[in-house]
Parts: sequence; structure tokens; C-alpha cells
Amino acid sequence: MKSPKARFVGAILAVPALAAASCGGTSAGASNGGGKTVKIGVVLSTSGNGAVFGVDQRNGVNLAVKMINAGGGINGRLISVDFRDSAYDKTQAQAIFAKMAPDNSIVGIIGPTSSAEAFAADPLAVSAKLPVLAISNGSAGVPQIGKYVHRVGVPEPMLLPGVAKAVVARDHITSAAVMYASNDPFALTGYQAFSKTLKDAGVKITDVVPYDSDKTVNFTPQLQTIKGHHPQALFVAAKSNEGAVILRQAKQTGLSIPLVGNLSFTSTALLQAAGSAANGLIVGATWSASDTSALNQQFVAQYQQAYDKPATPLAATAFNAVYVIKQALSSATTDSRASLEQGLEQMPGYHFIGSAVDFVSVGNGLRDAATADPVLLQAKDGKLVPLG
Amino acid sequence: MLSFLGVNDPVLLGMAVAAVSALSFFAVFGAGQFNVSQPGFVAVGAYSVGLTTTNHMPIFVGVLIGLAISLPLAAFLVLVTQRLSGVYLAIATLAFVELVQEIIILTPALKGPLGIYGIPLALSPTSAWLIVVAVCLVFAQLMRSRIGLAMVLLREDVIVARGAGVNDRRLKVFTACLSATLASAAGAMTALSTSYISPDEFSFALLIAIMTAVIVGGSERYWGAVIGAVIMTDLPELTRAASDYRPFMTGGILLVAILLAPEGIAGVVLRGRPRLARRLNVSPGITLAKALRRQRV
Amino acid sequence: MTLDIVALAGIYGMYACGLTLVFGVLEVLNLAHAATFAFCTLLAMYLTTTQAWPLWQAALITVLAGAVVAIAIDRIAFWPLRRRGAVTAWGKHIGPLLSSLALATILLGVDQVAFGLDPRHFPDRVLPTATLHLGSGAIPLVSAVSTALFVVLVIALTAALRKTRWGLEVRAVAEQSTTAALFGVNGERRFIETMAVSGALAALAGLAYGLTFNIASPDTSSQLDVKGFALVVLGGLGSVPGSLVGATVIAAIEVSGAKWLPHGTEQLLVFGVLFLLLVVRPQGIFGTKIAAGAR
Repeated sequence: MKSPKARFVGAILAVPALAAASCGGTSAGASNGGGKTVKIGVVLSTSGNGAVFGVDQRNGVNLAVKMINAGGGINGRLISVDFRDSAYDKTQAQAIFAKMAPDNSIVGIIGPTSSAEAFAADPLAVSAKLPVLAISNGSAGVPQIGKYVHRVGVPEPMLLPGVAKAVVARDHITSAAVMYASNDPFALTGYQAFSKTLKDAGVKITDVVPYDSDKTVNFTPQLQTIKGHHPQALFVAAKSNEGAVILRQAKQTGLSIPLVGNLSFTSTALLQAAGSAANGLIVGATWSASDTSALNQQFVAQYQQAYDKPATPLAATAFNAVYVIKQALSSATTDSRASLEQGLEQMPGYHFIGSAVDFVSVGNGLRDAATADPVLLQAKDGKLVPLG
Repeated sequence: MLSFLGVNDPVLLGMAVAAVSALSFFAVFGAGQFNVSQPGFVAVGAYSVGLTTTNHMPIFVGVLIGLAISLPLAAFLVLVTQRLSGVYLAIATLAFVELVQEIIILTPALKGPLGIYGIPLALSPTSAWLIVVAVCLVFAQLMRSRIGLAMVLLREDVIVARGAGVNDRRLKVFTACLSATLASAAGAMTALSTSYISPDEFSFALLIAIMTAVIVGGSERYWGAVIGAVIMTDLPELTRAASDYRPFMTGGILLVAILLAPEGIAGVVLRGRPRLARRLNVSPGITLAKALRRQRV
Repeated sequence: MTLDIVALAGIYGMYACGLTLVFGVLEVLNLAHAATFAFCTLLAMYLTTTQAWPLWQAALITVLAGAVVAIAIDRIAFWPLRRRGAVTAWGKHIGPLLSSLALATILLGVDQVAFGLDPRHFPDRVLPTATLHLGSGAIPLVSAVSTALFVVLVIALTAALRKTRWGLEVRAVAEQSTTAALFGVNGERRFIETMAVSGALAALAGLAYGLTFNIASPDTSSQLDVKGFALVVLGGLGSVPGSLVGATVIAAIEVSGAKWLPHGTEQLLVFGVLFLLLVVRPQGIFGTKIAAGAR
């Protein structure tokens, strides 16, 4: 066909053809056996909507690498990091994983930040037999992506039941209300975890109050409804900032019952914004700054010094992930994806900073992260201190 | 060479999806309708495919269901808002987008904010781009036909279009249905290329991305939408060094486009090369006289 | 419950008033209004925490900053298109809308760079905690003051637009700026003044929001950007008294919906009402009937 239209269409068709031809994949290097450095890929969202999380995570990783390398690395092999920003975007995460997959010098990936990116990008790692450490992908279904996906951060459904049970026992709770951000997957799973635990413990649920955190600015009507039904405790699974508003308005409404929050409430910025209204709030986490172990004290001090802000639980999990890699490779003679995978599969769990985390079986040879002793914390003057 | 531009399979897929989405906006915007309902229909297409494939049904069933929902919904939407135009139509269709999102969040059967994961990665870059080419062929024919001419007239001035015999209501329904079909297809493509969908993807932010692609690429030619989509999708790769400044870049590009080159890249190409314009058998602008000479449109 | 509606209506109202004013006079839907609002909230928080300014000083500078930002939006996004003498719908309404969208994105980038990603808040020392008890209900003093201020501003602005020479010129320019110019009205000056007022209103809304809820981050703008359209459409795009009505109605829907409807569905109702309104009566309550094919 010779019409100008056909030629134009032909040009459009040539684009993918050229791409397919020229991008047959970068030349795969030989596996990095016995080399001087261990290269790990780090894919986090340090720009875009996930930047609030990704920046802390990157800091945690960098600090861990620095500390491990200062101590001689992994049995003499130093860690090097190939960092890419996936900007909270599924396609970009996929593109980055597609680049890292054929690069055999990369033995493992830490990340990505969001579960959405994980669902999109991890399959590419799985087909390349490239281990991925999921540090903040709490959605159901993540370990099921494939055996090379290792969840290292304890997801909320594994953490919150312990928190709820502890509060019920401690304060003899027989009735409670639950509020949650209906537009956020973690708030929803948080609510489900709270709700199931409360029901199993025989607690009467007086109100279930979902809200859209993107569009709701004012929670007073909901809080007044809750107050009117006289629950003995309020469990809140928030998405982010609105948690501070809920805390302040709960106090203004005159709610004086214990409040229990999900992981969003471990944010220092949120606690400080809530001010004195946050005092008494109970949260569960797998890490606390006041843990006195030597490694944690080092982590907390060096983090503050290097990044001029306090360390966060997200940074702590990212930090732990690098140490997990170190442990998995410590008895390997060569650094390769296979040896990292093997090392990971053999680990029953880990305990570096924060709680001891166990890798529990979830069927089909897959494992998930859980903890037998969550850290129970209480907010006091803008900080989280161990629950007395 | 394309690897240098950061283009690999996922990026090609992303570009194809963006191109189909941009073309879906062009379908209405090219007729002067500021109907911004596309993210809602992308959601319909994505969820139809997502739910069927995770329930052991074949992909094409999901695609058909998506279309079966989108087409009547689009027609209804247009008929209800037919007296609106410009900003008012935009706000009404934006309200529609918000309603779709809210409904997905509140409906347990649609899994709410948890999203749908485990969708098979069944779309290859080749198939995706074949779809883009097919859609472009459709537009190529469409814009040369009476309907295309009617669209351009409607874009310029609805009164004049009516005077030239254009049935604007029928045209609005047609373009809205075309737009919804393409958006639904883009949704299916998104689901099948990223394995996971959730309601927060089908938002005002998606709309901004689609509009930016069409404006930057050129809102007066269908292939402008494709060019804009390709560029905006590759932008993060091209500008990886300055990722902290991405809002400045995306905003800056759109601003420069509106202020300096509102006809977009396509317009600049055609402006600067009248010979190319002739070879592509389009004129830089259809004149009213020519339009009126063709009596029945 | 009425007091809750009153409190919310003050914030929504000041925001809506600025937005509707720009639409009425410049005939443009300013999509950067939400970004201006968020920027001002963050600026006030930054000034009182990092710079340790007293609240009144921070508030004053924030209101001025809002006006300046709004004027900048006009000069960068709207004026270049006005200058070309645009006559089509694209040139007069859609082009500026899109360029304001571009500026909104840029302004969000500025927020991130200037104020960081983490949420900010006012320090305890500046946060007013007094509560007003009226009858059986209570309303924070901040909310009562901002709503009262809003009502005063609406009355003042409506009166100014109807009765003063300045108002007459603004309305003339809104109707037909070329004819107004023939009568010696300085259109550009009026446009700039209108933008300045709208920016100041956005700043006041931001201050009220910040002092009431005490947390903000760059994505705070997304709380009001789409809802803002509901606020202005209800009262009538371009009508200042309409912003009072729109804000009150939406606040009422949200507060009573949260109380009486199944939990979580009140936002659905807000957008459902917006959609229905546009289908049935797009000019809102106080707007003038819109000709088919207009704007």
C-alpha cells in the first residue's frame, strides 16, 4: 500500500518492532561467583505519592549497608547498591525489574514500596529466579506471587491481632467501636484484623465506621455517634494524616476511652500534630526507638545524625532487610541468586532490631512474616514509649 | 538504541495503554466535548477483565462485559448532560468519575480498596501495539469521513455545525461511545499488563495524565494523542536523574504546551511542514467554506 | 450538630468564595486554587514552627502570600492567553483551565521542595484551644471566628460588587472586557485585584483549615480540589452569596449524612448531588441560566 496513511501506520508499527529487536536484553554477565562486591537492587518510591515512605526506607537501607560494610561486609565481600526510584508507579517498577532481571550481578532486590507495584513487578523477578525482599508490601496475596518473593516486613493482619488481644485483656474490654479508612487497603485489612480478633474475644462491637480519607475532613459527627453508644475502647485503622485529626476531635468530643491505632499511628509527624490528644494512644509495632539493644541504639543514633530526623518503623524494616541478606549469604561460598534464595529459604526468621520475626508457612511451600511478640507502645508527649 | 531511552517491554506496554487512553479522550475532545469521564470507563474495563480472569473465565468475556457496561452507560451519561458544555460538562463528568471510584470502594464484591491481584499478565507489547495501530487505522478513516468533518465542525462552534446540518446530539453520543469503548479497552490492557488494579488508579490524577498527553501531543490530530502518550510515559525514564523535580517537569511541559504551542507537537509538525501536511492529505484547518460545500454531514 | 455544620461551612465557604469569584470575573475555573490553599496552610505552619513566628504575624504574611501566588497564577497562566485576544471556548475557558492545572502541579512541587514531604502542624503554643459553648453544643473558637469572618466577607464583597464604583467596574469587566475598556475601565487592574482577593480567601481558608485540623502536607490540596467544584456549582458559579449557600449545603450533607446514612456513604451523596444538580439545574441556586453551548 502506498497511501501516506499506510506509510504513517507503518512507521507506528516499526516502533515496537525496533524496540523488540534492539532490546533483546542486556548481555547477561556471568554469575558473580566469589567477586569482591555483592550487588543488591533497591527499588523504592522516593518521588511521587510514595515518597513519604520510600525516602525513609532508602535511608534505612543505606545506613545498614554502611554499617555492614564498615564491619567488613559479608565475610569480606562488600555490599554495593543499585538504587532506582519507582515513583509509586506500577509500570516504572516493572520497567526497573525488567532491567535488573537479566543483570546477573544483582543477586537480590529490596522493594518495591507499594503492594500495587509488587503485584506488577515481582512476577518478572520470579521468572528470573531473582529473590525479592518485600519490606512494606502488606497486601494479601503478595507471598503467593512466587517462592522468590520473601515478605520480610510483618503485615498488619499478622501484627494487629496481638495488639487487640493485649488491650482487651489489659483493660477488660467488653465493647468497642471500630473506625477505618475505607479507601485504603491497609486500613481495610487493619480493620478486618481488629474486627475478627474482637469478635473472637467476645467483645461487642458497638459501631463500625468506615470513612473516605481523601474526602473527609471532619470526623466529629462519626465520633459523636460512637460516643453515644458508650464503647469501652475505640480501634482506629487510619490511612495517614487524618489519624491526627481523629485523635484531636475524639478528645474534643469528650471521648475518654482507650484508643488503639494501626501502623499509621506510629508516625512521629502524626503524633506531634495530634499533640496532647495523642497521649494514651496504644499502637503495636515490630520496632521501637526505645529498644535498648546495641544494634538498635547504633541505628537510632546514626540515623538521626545522618538524616537529621528520627528513625521510623519503615526505615527499621528496610534496615533489617539488608541484614537478612547478609545472614542468608553469610554461609554461602559464592554470591549468586541461587545461593541467596537458598539462604533465605533456610532462615527460620530473623532478629536484628525490633521484635523477633518468624517466617511462617502459609502453604504451597510459601512463607510469610509474623511475630510472636509485637512491641506494644503508648503515645506520650509526641513519642512512643513502651506500654506500662 | 531504544534501551538507551529506557524502553523495554513494560514501558512499551505502558505506552500502548497510555496511547489508547489518550485516543479515548481525543475521541470526545476532538469533537469539542469536554467530557472527562474516561477514568470511569477505564475502571469499568479493568474491573470487568480483572474479576473475570480471577474467577476462571476467559479474557474475552471480561472485555465483552466491560463493553456491555460501558456503552449504554456512556450513552446515558451523554444524553443526561447534553445541555452542558465546557466547564459544566467537565465537572459533571468528573463527578461521574468520583462516583465510580466511590462505588468500587464501597462494594465488597468488587473487593473495594484491596484491589484485584493475580490478574494474568497476558498482554504482550506486540499485541498491545497492534491494538494501538488498529485504533489509529480506525481514526484515520474516521477523521477523513463525514463524521470526522462533523467532529471538527462541532469542535469549532456548535451553532455553525448545526447550521451545516450536523446532528450534534447523535454525534455526541457517537463520540462518547467511541471514547468509552477505547477507555474500556485501555482498562482491560492495564489489568492484563500490570496484574493488579485498585480504585485509586482511576482518579482525577489519571485524567490529568491523559489530558496532558493529548494536549502536549496535539489535540487536533489523533496521532498527536499517540505521540503525547509515548513521550509522557517515557518521561520518567528520560529524566531519571531529576526525579525529585518531576512535578516541575510535568507541570512545566503542560504549561509550555498551552502557552506556546497549544496545538501540541502535531500542530508544530504540521505548521512547520506544509508539504508534509499535504502528503498526509490533511489541511492545517478545514475551512468553513469547504465544510459548507459538503452539504450533508 | 448545627454547630459542626457551621464550623465546616466557614472553611468550605472561604475556599468556595475565592474560586467562584475568579470564575465569575475572569470566566476561568482556577484549578490551582486548591494548590494555593494547601501552600498557604503549609506556609503558616512552617512560619510558626521552623521560624517560630507568632501566629498573627504568620497569618498576615500568609494572606499576603496567597494574594501574591494568585496574582502570579494569573500572570503566568491566564494573562498570556487573554493577551492573544482569544475568542473561542478553548482560548477563553479551556486553555486557561489547563494552564492553571499545570501551575497546580508545579505549585505542589514547590510545596514538596520548600516544606518537605512529612506532614506539618502548628505548634501547641499558637494553637487556640478555646471552645465556645452555645446552648447544648460546642464549637471551637477558631471555627466560630472563621465562619463569622466568612459571613462578613461575603456580605462585604457582595455589597462592594453591587454598590461601589470598583464593584461596578469589576462586573463590567466580567461581562465584556472590551466594551468596559472603551469606558475607561482598567480591565487588567480589576482582574489582578480579583485574583488577589481570591488568593487571600484561599489563604484564609487554609488558615482556618490548619487551625481546626492541625495537620497538612503537600497532598492536602486533594481534599478540596474536586469537592470545591461541588461547592461552587451548588451556589452558582460566579455568585459570591452562592458560595455561602453552597458551602452550607455541602457541609450539611456531609455532617448529617455521616450521622444518618449508612456509614461511609456520605461522600457518595455529595457527588451524587453534584451530578444531579448539573443535570437538572447547572446554574445552581443563584447563577444565571446558562445558554446551551456556552463555555
